[in-house]
Amino acid sequence: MRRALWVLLMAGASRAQDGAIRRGELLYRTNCATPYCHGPEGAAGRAPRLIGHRYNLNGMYKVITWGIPGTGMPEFTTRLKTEEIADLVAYVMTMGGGSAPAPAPAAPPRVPSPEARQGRALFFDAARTGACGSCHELEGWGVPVGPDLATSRIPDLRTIATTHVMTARPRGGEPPFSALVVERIGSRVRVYDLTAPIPVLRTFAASQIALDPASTWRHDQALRLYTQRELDLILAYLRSL
Amino acid sequence: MKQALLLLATAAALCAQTGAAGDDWPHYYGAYSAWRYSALAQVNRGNVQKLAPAWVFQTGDYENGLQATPIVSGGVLYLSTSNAWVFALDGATGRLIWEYRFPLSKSIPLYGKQNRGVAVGRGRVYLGTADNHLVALDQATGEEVWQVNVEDSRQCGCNITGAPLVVKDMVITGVTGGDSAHRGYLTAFDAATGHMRWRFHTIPGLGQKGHETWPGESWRYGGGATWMTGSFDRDLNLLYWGVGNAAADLNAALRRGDNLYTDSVIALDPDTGKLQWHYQEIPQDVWDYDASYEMELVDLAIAGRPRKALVHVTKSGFTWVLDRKTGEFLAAWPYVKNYNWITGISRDGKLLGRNEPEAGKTKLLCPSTIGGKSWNQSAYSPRTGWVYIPVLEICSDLIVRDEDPQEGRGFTGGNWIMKPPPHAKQESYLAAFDPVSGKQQWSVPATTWLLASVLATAGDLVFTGDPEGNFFALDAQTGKRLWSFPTGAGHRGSAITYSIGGRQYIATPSGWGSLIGQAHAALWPGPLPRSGSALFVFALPEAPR
Repeated sequence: MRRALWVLLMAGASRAQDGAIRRGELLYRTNCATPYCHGPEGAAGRAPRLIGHRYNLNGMYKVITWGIPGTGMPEFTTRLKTEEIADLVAYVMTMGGGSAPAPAPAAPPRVPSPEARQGRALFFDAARTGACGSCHELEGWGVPVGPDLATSRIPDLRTIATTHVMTARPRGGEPPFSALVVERIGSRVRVYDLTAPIPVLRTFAASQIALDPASTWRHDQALRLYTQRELDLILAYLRSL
Repeated sequence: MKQALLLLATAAALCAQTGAAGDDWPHYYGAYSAWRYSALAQVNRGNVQKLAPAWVFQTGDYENGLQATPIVSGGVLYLSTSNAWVFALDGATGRLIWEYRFPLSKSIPLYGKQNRGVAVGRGRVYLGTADNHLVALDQATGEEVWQVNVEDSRQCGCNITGAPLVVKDMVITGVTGGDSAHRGYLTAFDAATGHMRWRFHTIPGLGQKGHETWPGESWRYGGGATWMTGSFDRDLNLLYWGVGNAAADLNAALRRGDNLYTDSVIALDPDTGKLQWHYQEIPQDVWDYDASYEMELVDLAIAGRPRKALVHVTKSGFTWVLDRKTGEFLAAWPYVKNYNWITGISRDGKLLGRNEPEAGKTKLLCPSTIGGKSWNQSAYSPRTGWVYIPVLEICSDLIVRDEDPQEGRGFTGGNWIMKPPPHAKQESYLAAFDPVSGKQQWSVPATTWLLASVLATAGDLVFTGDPEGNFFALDAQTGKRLWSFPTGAGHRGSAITYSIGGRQYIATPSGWGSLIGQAHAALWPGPLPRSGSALFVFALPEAPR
């Protein structure tokens, strides 16, 4: 009997909780879900990702009520009623899922030298169309067209051998171009065309293109955007990785 | 004599119609002139009541609704979705000819997955993606021909949500990024090979004219996005593009100066990408009022002189009228009732009585950061001579904060919360205006707000859709509602019309979504607009055979 009553009570509590979560979801959409904040699913936006983290209930109350000073997280005590904050907390707690493992302790941050920092800025310099980052991916930025530099040993940027660059000769009158072969799938060939400052990933029918193993392309050509001093800084950055 | 007169009359009609779309809908705004107007008149005020569904196409991509403008070329309709899927459909029957799905990367910048449409030309279909790629497909088969990663979206925090524009043998695309620490640009690619032809940075670099309007390093992160589509004048050989707000959006502490060419109309030589003229509507913007929206190229008589004009209905609640040959200021008029960011605009185009957001204060400013209208487009009809605008009377509380730029991260310099205007109710309506004087001709209220584009036709009809899911036609002269159809999902896309085999079709995307669409619940009571992703195509019933 007592057990049955307990089950009934719990079912009622659970229904009440469901209601809070549903109301909280609506409040979330209104107040938190702009893509500039936490995003519609708690996964996008400039504010921290909400899904997949384990949250402390009291901490969540505190953050939503009072905000986080010095950040974009506003206080909601002036905007929402106490019971609405409770509903919002109930919903946000469900986003955590509770199953994500605690994050591993962060490794002590590597402090790059001033040269390496300047080199990194030059590597990804958005003011130069065709900067290193438009062909190489490093530390989660850039486009992986050329080889992975994190695992390469680089003696000098100007004299790098690029034996993997070929000459593509499309049939039909287009002039030949320097190319990196990406893949051959069935009767199709995909190559990076290195003619312009932004590499073009092009797809050809195998019968429509001939590939010569040699090329006049030199890595030096891609370095024209930089002075020798700047290249030294970039090399310092690459060696700091 | 009679024949000569008839010829003259035909020539005049043709001149008046040069900005109109015909059997196809070849460009984003219908034609390069960006009128969103079609010369088709089979469906008109007299018979629109008989308009009925001809076919419906469900895309299956329900993320963020269906925001695209379909393109019709040679009777084939090309439609794209938020996840960068493209469909080629038989315009008469809806039969699927081919489909293509771009493999989007997982990291999408804060502007999210949105897609406003493809461009078609030179045997290719061009798609911009939410992870900042531009892709060219074979128009006949849908097979990929080339793609470029315009800039790594993880670095720039920018992506492509607008439709590209085909000009001559090039395809031109802008990028988002105006609310991030990013420097905007417009890029032209060779249609055949994908080779970059030119890139125009909307913020002048070191040593360039206009660079002095940006102190210190602010030019590197000053916004100036090119997120909507431009217009093109073939005769003048000028490409027009609207440039977005300066960043940080609400806080100019780090960028005291005019901040060229943000909030400007720029006119470029499409062959070289070189600037021919610019007109800055809002120097040192602190309200997030991008000058990005459609620019309607209309020939108008202004103060007794014929002018090649450019009519620019902008986010700030004002419409600017410029001479599109020279960039000369001709007129500006408010299309919203509620504005308090300025008191007005002088006869020579100066902003009067700037009312700026202030640090440490919450200030209610109008129109809101969504704009006096959102990106969904107005339409111009040469038959009435009026421009039809989906107006929003909404304001926002602006809160300024100090912020240091971090490349590619959000850089808003504050926060905004949508609010009703002071001493008035929030509302939205479709209204017709004289493009020079700004005199309102008629106005039709919406139940909530209007976030779908307007389509005008030579049948003297104006079409648009609402969040409740109704797609409807109004009399272009009077605003009288003549026809309506419930499509079952909210409207956030752009309707078009085209003709195949002598039968006129009217197509509208249906399916609620977008960044702005998500603000619905905060503004309007009642049920949320329904998501979805379907194209509804209507026509008059065929005569029995």
